[in-house]
Amino acid sequence: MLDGEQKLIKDAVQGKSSAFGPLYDHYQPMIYRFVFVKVGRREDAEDITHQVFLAAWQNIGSYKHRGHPFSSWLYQIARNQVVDHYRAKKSEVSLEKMDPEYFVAPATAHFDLSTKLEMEKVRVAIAGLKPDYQDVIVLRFIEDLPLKEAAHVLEKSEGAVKLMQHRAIKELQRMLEQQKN
Amino acid sequence: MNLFQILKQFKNIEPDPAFKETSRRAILAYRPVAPTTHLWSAQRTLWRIIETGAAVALTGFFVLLITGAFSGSRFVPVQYSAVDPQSLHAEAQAIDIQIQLANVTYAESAVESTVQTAGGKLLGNPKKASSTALSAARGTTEATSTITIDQALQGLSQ
Repeated sequence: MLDGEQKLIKDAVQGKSSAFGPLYDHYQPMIYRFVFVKVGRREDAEDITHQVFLAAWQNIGSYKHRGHPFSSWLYQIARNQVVDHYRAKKSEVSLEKMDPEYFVAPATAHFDLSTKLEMEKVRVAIAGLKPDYQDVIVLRFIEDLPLKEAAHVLEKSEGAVKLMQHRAIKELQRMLEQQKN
Repeated sequence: MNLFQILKQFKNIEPDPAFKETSRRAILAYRPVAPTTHLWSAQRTLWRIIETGAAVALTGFFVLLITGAFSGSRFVPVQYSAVDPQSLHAEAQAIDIQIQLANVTYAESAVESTVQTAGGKLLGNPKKASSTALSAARGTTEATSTITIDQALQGLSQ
């Protein structure tokens, strides 16, 4: 959580852009990662991330703190934006036909080649999972969100999220095994 | 590297700084919708209550106006102008009279038929026949016309 976040949120709710700026800076990378892992394409991830924060800023007046972190609200907007994205772009070019370099985010340039390849394999496998499984993997194993917060974002009980993350990892491992063979 | 270690590596992915800056500026240039305040909400709620109340009152007024039952007194029972209670009362009374008159007619015809039957059966003994017929007729008349026409009409007129 950001220092003085409650004050920033309160000011942002009042329409102060100077308060929303630091919230954007803090949460934008995690929302970008969440979207990027799900959609795979850098341009799409950037567009959707932009839309998420634009929607958040447009609707910040209706935000009400109900004991959940501000990030939960942003993740929920991001999930909806990704769903809208897929709904609008059903006839996409298949992932296999794309140039692998197209997927590489600029910030992954500092990884060594073998790590990059491993990451790309895993990312492609994640992209093949059900949307709920993708979400739980990103939230729990990439962003390390607490179970409670992940449950709130996914609108499920904590028990359901535990079960879902177990199944998601199993499914991901199975897909990675398939890739090897 | 195992799967969980690879997943942790994803956390190092960062968006393009140029995109981040452009997007930030574009978003913050947008003015959000003015936030709601408690005072404004209270005024809005009050205004909605007034609107709803006025709508209900007007609807009620027009319903009363249409049915013609608008009255200053709350204790006067609702009366519909399209229906005249006096004519209704007279009509109801006329129906009752017709029923009573039909009963009287039936009683008279019953007396006649009884006399004829009794007379027919006792043709062989004229004295007995006449006395039997008379007593039968008397009994029937007494039995059937316990209320005379005059009594019935008098009762109805009251």
